[in-house]
Parts: sequence; structure tokens; C-alpha cells
Amino acid sequence: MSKLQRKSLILLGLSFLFLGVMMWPSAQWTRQNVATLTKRHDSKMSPVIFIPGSSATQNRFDELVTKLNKKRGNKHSLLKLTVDTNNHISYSGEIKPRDNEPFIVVGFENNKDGYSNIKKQAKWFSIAFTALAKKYQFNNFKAVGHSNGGLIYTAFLENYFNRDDITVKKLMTIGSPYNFEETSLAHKSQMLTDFIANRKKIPSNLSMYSIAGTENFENDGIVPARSVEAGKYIYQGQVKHYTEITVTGDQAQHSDLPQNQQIINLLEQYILSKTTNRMNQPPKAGANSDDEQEH
Amino acid sequence: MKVIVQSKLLLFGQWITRVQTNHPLYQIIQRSLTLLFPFVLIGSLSQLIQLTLFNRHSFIASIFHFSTWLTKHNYMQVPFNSLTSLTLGIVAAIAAFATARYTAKYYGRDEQLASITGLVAYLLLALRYTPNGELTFNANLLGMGALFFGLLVGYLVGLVFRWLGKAQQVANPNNGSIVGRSLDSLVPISLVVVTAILVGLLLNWLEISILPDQVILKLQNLKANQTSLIFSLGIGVLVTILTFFGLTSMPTLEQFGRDGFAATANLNYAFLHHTPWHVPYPFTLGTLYGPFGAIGGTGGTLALVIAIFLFSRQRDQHLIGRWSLMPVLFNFNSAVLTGLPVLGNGLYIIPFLLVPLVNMGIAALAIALNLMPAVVYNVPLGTPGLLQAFIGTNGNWMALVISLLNVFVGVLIYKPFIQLANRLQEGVDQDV
Repeated sequence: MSKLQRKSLILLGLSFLFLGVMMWPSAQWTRQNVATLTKRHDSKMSPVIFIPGSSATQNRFDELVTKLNKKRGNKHSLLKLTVDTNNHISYSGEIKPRDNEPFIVVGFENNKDGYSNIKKQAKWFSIAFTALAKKYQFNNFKAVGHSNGGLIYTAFLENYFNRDDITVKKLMTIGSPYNFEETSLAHKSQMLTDFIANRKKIPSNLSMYSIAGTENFENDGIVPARSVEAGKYIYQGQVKHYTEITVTGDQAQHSDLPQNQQIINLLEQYILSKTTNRMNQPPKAGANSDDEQEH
Repeated sequence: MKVIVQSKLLLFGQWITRVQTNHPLYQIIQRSLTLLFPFVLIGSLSQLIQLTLFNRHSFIASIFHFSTWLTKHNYMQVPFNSLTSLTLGIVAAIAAFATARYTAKYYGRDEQLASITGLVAYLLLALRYTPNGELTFNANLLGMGALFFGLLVGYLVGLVFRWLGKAQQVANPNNGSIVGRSLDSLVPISLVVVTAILVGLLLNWLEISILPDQVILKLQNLKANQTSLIFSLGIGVLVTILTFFGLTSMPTLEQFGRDGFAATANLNYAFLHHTPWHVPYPFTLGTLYGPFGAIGGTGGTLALVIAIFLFSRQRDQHLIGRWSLMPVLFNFNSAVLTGLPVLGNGLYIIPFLLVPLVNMGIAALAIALNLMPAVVYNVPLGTPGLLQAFIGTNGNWMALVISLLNVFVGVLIYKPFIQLANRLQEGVDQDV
């Protein structure tokens, strides 16, 4: 064997040794990775994650949850998160074992209005979301945002949500002002312009429901119906389904919307899973009383 | 029998050498590729460090659990990223430079001006016209995957100089002023630049890609074909041929089989049944080509490097093999492909195509005989070729054994051609 060859073969031997050393940690990594992914795949949990609007706390949806649970037999447990401005998360409530469709509300210490705050809140939400995904290992979820909560969701889906292991199945925004307080679709706010520019990043298999409340023919007391309608420029054509629903009548004022019985029905119809045990539900009684309320 | 095969091989080798030495184009391309080697090597090493060490999803970061730490220290990969982009990432442009130079030199024209013109012309072709007027390039047209076009443009520029330029008067240094030289070449330079701009505009206007990558990626979307063994073997050979002629490169192929419905179905099956055994589509590109058909990169290059170490008597080949060994272990084979050179070299076309085909065949057979499960799980970025099957089957030892067997068979296939190269080289040395 020539000197040339010997040197090359020593190098080859060393590199095979190097690969050999890598083998044990590689095997460890793949076992752990496969186990984690299998766990996530097996997960039957599909939480509904709520984001409240500005000036509202993590307790914003308490009444809605109570009403829903009354109807559906205390099925859904409620977990509330608050993200502080220093990215720290505090928890209250819990997810009961064997609850496959828990409700999770994510609120923010800084819950102020304005585009700059919405951008920050989207980032805080992504921190909370990552923590939730890691802890509960769900592979899909449903999203509900009231008022600015819908804007935070839009910002989150466009800028932070790029996971191939978790899908967002449905999004419902309730009275979300996609064009802030503008009453005309001709004037696009900076936020709407940004949302439209990045719309391609929104998952295309999403079903989206945008609900507008109206007290009169113009607005719900706070948010112009035109501003809610502006959401179509972001979602329509990008997502699988984009549905606009206008709710009028009793409790159609902006802040009442989360408690509005009609909206609760829409949530149940479009967002929650159908395969619930309807055994606990009083037969038709709820539906009848709804009708009476609406008239 | 063995003697007959050997003598046939020798005849083949001599024929190839005769054809190649007699053709000026071949000489020009060989020299250009050799000129590229240092940049490709540096780029490959930088890419190696970036993609196996400093990327958040990289092999080393994953298995030694410092991905989270890297997320916060993202800047570490930036210098390597830039270095790779400006060496390996502009290989096609350098190739245009080199080919224009050697072509002009061969025909006795002004090689310096020709080479600069070649570079400028190629950059003009790769220019992407944006509405806001920024200077941006089509990165795919500058990298390894467009090497063929770089060589072609350089050669055409050289030919323009041959026809329109004046012969260089080297013998008369007092007469030929620098300005005179430039004036002599003004016509070919203008013609080349104008043509390049027009073609570039046309490409931008039509929004078409002249690279075959897109066609291949479209092919894998054909649902019906994706799952059959014949399709997988066929595409495996097709991409190897394209690589051989500098028409595509590994990064495109890495995407191969990773997405597509068969890979998803396999993965879902494996997660659902808690096993990679008996997945619905065991013979896809993802299960065969990546982990078995391209150990060390396209053409099973790890086997080539080992065959050089074992059988080559040429110092240059050993040195190139040693420098390229590290990147090749991690499937970055651009350095050895340009250094030896393998690309466009008729001597190596048979084993270069045969090794992936045989390797994929062995793997398919092993899966069919239930010796090992199909490779379905994802592997980290920059996983060494030899370990891809092992990791992708959740640590199946038989998969590792099959990988090693594949390399061994690959070495056996490359062996006679390395020995042939030895003999041809020694023949040349004796003639000299």
C-alpha cells in the first residue's frame, strides 16, 4: 500500500469512526422525535382558543362558556391564560382529563387598542400558543376572536403560525374591525393594507366565519359594519370558505355580542364538533326559548 | 471472461479519451470545471457548517439538543450563509467567466476581455426585473443547478470573440496599447451585452424558467405515477442524468419525495399504527432515492470517493477525494463532481448512473422481502447519507446494514472505472 493510499484510508477510517459516534445520539433523537409526533398524531384533543378584544381580560368569555356548557351539559372545561408584557404566562382554571374540546382563553396584560399594540399582542399570543401546543400536544384547534381578538388572530396567522404539525380548522371573528373605525372601504388603514399584503400566508384549508353585529344599518354601536366587511379583502379567495353573517336584534351591541344567543348558536353550529353527547341537553327546550327571545 | 471485460473497458476508455481530447469544447469545459473547484469546495464546506451545525433544524443541533439555543443565536449562520451564496451560489456565473476565457484563449482572442464579457452577459441573463428597480438575480440561475447554462453562455461568448474579435498580437508589446485592445473588442462586447439583455428581458417577460427543476417537481405531482417502483427508478435515473450534465443540483432533489401525497400517507400510516412496517406506498422516491439512491449525493458519490481511496494511483484524485470527503459524508458532493471532474466526463457516466439504480433496486428488494421497513420518518437537515435510512426508520439496524451494503456495491461498480482512469493516465504519462 502506497503512502498516498494509506493517508487517504486513515482519513476514511476516522470519518467512519465519526459517523459511528453519531449513531447513538441519532438513534436517541429519532426515537424521541417519533414518539412525540406519534403522541401528537394520536391526540384527539381539539381545543377552541378564544382571544378577547381590547380592554377585555381573560374573563371576557366566562358568560359565553357558562351559557354553552348549560346547553351542552358542562362538557367543556375552561383554561385561562394571561401573557404579561415580559412574556411571562400565568394560568387559571384547568383542562379536565378526557376533555377533547376544552376552551382556552388567552388574554394580555397590555390589552390596549391600536395597530402597534395588536402587533405586540399577536407576538404574545404566539408565545402562549407555542406553550399550549407543547403542553397539550394537540394537532388541530379552532379559533374564536372577539373584536380586536380577530385582528390579533389575523396577525398571528400571517406572521407567526407556520407549523406543519398543527392545523387551524376554523376561525370565527365576532365584530372584528378589519379597517378600524373607517366607514368606507375606499380608505384602507395601514393594518388592513398589511393584512392584505400577507394574506397568502393564511392557511388555505381554513373555514372562516366573520360575524357582524348591527344595531342600526351602519354599525353595532362601536364598530362600523363596513369595517367588519373589509375582512373579505384578506380572507375571501385565500381560505377554503369565507362566510359573512350579520346578526341584528336584541344584544347586537358590540360589547354584548359574545353573550348574544344567536352568536352562541352560530358558535355551536359552525365551530364546535358535532359528535358531542347531546344526551344531557334538554330536548329542544333551549331552541324554543331562543326563538321566543328573538321575537 | 474477466480479461475480455477488462479489454473491452480499456477500448471504451481509449475511445472516450480520444473523442474527448480531440474535441476543443471538451477541453475547455474540463479546464473551466477545474477552475471552479476551489470555490465549490469552500462553498461546500461553508454549506456543511451552516446546514449541519448552525441551522436550527440541522443534524448536529438536533441530535445534541441545542436547537433552542440556536434560535436565540440565529446570527451564527449568517456569515456562512453569505459565504455559501457568494461561492457555491454563483458557480454558474464563474463558469461563464471561465469558459469564455478558455474559448477565447483556444482561438487566440483577447481572453481577459472575453472572460469579463462572459461574466457580465451571464449576470444580465440572470437579472430579475422588479417593479421597484432593485438589482436582484434569479438565484437558481446562478447556482450549481445552472452550471450547464453558465458553461454554454461562456462558450457562446468565446465564439463571438472568435468570429468578431481580432487576433491578439502578443509578440508586439510596444504596438498594442491597452486602449487599442479594448477598441478591438468593442464590437463583440456590445453584441454580447445587447443580446444578453434582450434574452434576459424575454425570460422575464415570459416568466419562464429555463431550468428543468420545475418540470421534475411537476412530475412528482402526478398522483398515479408517484407510487410505482418503475416511476421512482425512472426519476432517480433522470435526475442523475440531469446532474451529470449540470442541469440540476442536490438542493432541488432534497425536496424530492419529502412532500407529495404518498409521503404524507406513509407518515400518517406509521403514526397511526405505531410502526414504519407495511406502509401503503413503500416504493416512492422518498423511501428509495434519498436514503439509498444518493448516499453521499447524486450518483452515490460516497462510493466513488471510497473507490478512489482504495484503487486510484493518481495523487490529484486522492487529494480531491480527501478534501471532498467531509462534505460528501453529509451528501454535499458538488466539490468532487467539479474537481475530478465527474460532470460531463464520459469516463464516469456508466457508474454514475448505474450506482443509484442498483442501490435503489437493492433497497426495494430488501423492503419487498420484509428485511427492513420503508424509510418514512423525517430526518434532520444535513443528515449524513449513511445514517438517513437508519434515522428515517426510527433506528432500524437492518436499514443501516442495507445502506452499508449499498456503499460496498457502489465501490465495486466504481472500481473498474477508477482503474481504467489509472491506466489511461499512465498511458498519457508514458507518451510524454
